[in-house]
Amino acid sequence: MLFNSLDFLIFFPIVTLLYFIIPRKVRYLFLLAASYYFYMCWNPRYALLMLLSTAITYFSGLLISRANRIPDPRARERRRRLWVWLSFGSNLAILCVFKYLTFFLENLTRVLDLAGVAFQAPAIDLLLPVGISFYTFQALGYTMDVYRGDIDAEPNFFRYALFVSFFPQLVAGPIERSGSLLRQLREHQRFDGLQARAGLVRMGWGLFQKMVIADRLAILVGAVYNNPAGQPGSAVALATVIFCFQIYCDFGGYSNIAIGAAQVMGVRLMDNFRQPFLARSIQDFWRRWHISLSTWFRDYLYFPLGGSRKGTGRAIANNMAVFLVSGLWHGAGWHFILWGGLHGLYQGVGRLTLPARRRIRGALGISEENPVCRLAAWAFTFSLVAFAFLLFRANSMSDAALLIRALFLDFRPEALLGGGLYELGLDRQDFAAAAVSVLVLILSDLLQERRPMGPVLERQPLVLRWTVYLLLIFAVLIFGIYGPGYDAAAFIYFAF
Amino acid sequence: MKHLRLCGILRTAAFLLIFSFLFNSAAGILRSKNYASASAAFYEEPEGTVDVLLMGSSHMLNAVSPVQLWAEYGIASNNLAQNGQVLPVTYYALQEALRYQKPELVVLDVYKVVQDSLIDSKASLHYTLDNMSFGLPKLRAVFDLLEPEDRAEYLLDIILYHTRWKELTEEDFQKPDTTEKGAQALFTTARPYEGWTVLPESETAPPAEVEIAYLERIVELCRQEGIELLLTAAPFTTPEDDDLNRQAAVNAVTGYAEAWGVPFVNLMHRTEEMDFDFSTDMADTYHVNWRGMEKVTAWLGDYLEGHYSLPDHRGEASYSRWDEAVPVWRDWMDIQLAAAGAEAGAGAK
Repeated sequence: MLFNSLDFLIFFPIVTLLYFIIPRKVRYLFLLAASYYFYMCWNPRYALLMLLSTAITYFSGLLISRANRIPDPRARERRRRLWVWLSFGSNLAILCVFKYLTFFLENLTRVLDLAGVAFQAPAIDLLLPVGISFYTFQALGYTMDVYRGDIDAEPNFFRYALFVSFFPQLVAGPIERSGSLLRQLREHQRFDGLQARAGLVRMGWGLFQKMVIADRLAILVGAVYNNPAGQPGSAVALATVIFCFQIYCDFGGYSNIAIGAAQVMGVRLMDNFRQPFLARSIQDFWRRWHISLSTWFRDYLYFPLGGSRKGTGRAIANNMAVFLVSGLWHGAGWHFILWGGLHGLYQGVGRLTLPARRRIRGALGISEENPVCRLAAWAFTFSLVAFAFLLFRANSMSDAALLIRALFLDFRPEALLGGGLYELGLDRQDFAAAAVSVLVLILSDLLQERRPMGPVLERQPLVLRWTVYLLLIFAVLIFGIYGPGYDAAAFIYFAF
Repeated sequence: MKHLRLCGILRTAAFLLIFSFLFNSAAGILRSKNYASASAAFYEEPEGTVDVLLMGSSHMLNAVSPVQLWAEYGIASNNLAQNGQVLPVTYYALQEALRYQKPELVVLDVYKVVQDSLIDSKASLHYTLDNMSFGLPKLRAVFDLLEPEDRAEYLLDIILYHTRWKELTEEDFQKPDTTEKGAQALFTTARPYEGWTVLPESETAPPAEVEIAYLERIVELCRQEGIELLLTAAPFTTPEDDDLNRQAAVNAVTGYAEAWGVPFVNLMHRTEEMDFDFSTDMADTYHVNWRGMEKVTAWLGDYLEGHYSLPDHRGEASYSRWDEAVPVWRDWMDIQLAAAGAEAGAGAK
């Protein structure tokens, strides 16, 4: 069940209402049932897979906690590590089979072919279970948290199963930490009118981002990226910049709906996006983009690899490793890996040139806070991020090559003039709607950068607040992309 | 604390009220205005003032003019037929109509017995349901006639029409034109293909079962409500590749009507009586034009006068709006005819 579907519009109020009506003791069981129902609307069979991951990580938690009681420190650590490795190994194995096996076999065939060995890979027809990358990471985070002693193992299987399957953030994050979500699920949530209202507004904003902006921009982006041959570089540049907004609104919008829905139910989820395109360095971008995943990689991969404690060279290598894995996490394709690699490279170069840049600025007497400097840093960062997103969005490496070639060797800006702009899937009115809604987004992000807009809105007089609410609702109802003939564009991040 | 909670509930209720009002207005503006006039004409009549409901598909919509019936016979009728309305849909449209009016007679065109389906097309179902007020008949229709995945766009038609924000015109902000009181005169002329014939009344073919089933439900509903039912079939021709089965299927209704004890007048076989000429009175293959409409209406007026004791409301103070509607309609017909390049004024003498 997608968030932008009528099904969810019915499901969510009913579940919320029942949640607060039924006795507190059984609320988590009800929510667990609702979450599994939510998930099984996609494909009931994959719920078994989630259950398996849940069971493995649940028992890993209990076993680690039991191992903690072994008196001999070496035996204790050996046993604890064994359970962590088993939990990670088996979960990542499941993830690999469902997500990467086809990719691996394709590449194996290609390599063997190059080596002159004919190999026919068996045809594998596995549908990628929705949200598998998200809940697997969340569950593995729990194993690690218990191992590190950050949280006690959860004795109640059903409560733990709810932590893995909590429907608002189940299929596309934010990837929560046991320290936050599991702890909250152990407490009793009270209905709080103000929180619920704030949550609903956040959901409304998320729906606006997803349905009005992302799904409309997707039409133009698709028109260019799905027909890369012969596209002028100007169209590629436009579509790429637009794709930045599309994916931000798609994924950020989804996160906002998830966070808002949880907030209505009294659960706080972590922020997942903080005005990412206002970043002035790549490092800054990753502090703002898909925060729950970046911090997951930081806590559970980068730090264990040694982080930046072992010198600059090692830090750059660790960072590159994290981003290559992150690329692969986003999708089984070389263009995703290259996208991750490019971000690793950006940061490596950034780190290496940092002293030089500081010296130059110092010599010229320019402060980092100089407006021109800030603007240049922002523009440079955005260009790097956008260029990397070209690799991300391209359907394949060969498509990416075609697009990059057009971008640098066949720009033809005149192709977009004289109505050419409106040949890219969005007519004049839709283009205008897209432009206005993106402006609203930019304005909102600029304001949000200064102070969180939610509380500011809450302090406004009733008439103003209601006007904003109604504008938001009707913008979605009228200008949203939905309805028959419209193949409810799946949230981009579901396949990851 | 209690006071605060009450305040919150009241506020939420007020917000929902404002939202509903705006939602309704937005949905109304965005809704397609094609075919909106029949329902608009129906709902603007005061409750309990319409004596005759004209129902069915386009064959009724294009064939009987309530304003002419009023002008010449003083019969207060409304044409609630709709393009592509099959009998299952008519059954629910009648239920809806009976929420507002208690007619003495329902005149129903049965041409659609030729079509074996619960709905004609998703679009034509929209013509009927979009402009139907939200109530049990609409809900019943949606749940009875549609697959689950298709229901939402009929219950909340903004799902379908919101994309019309791009194409809104002045017309979308105005009330639909109700000059014809639900009918729709056509101003073209088409001749039947060479060699086309009227099948003898005795030649029949089995009509669609689902249509007959719903026709029987309509008969039953009218009986329960104490309303007389008159089945009719307006004259129509058929395309050249048709095997004339449509005529045969409509002819077969005679047998069913007899079994149910309901009168059925097949106008295909009364064309001489009404001076109907297939070469001048058809708008296209299936539908009569304004000339045909005038003749069918006049024939029906005579028939009703002869067979039913319907009141003549002309001149009554409470029906003054009807009297006023006649010159407006005549002027309108003149304008349409002039625009269509046909003989001016002949439609509304």
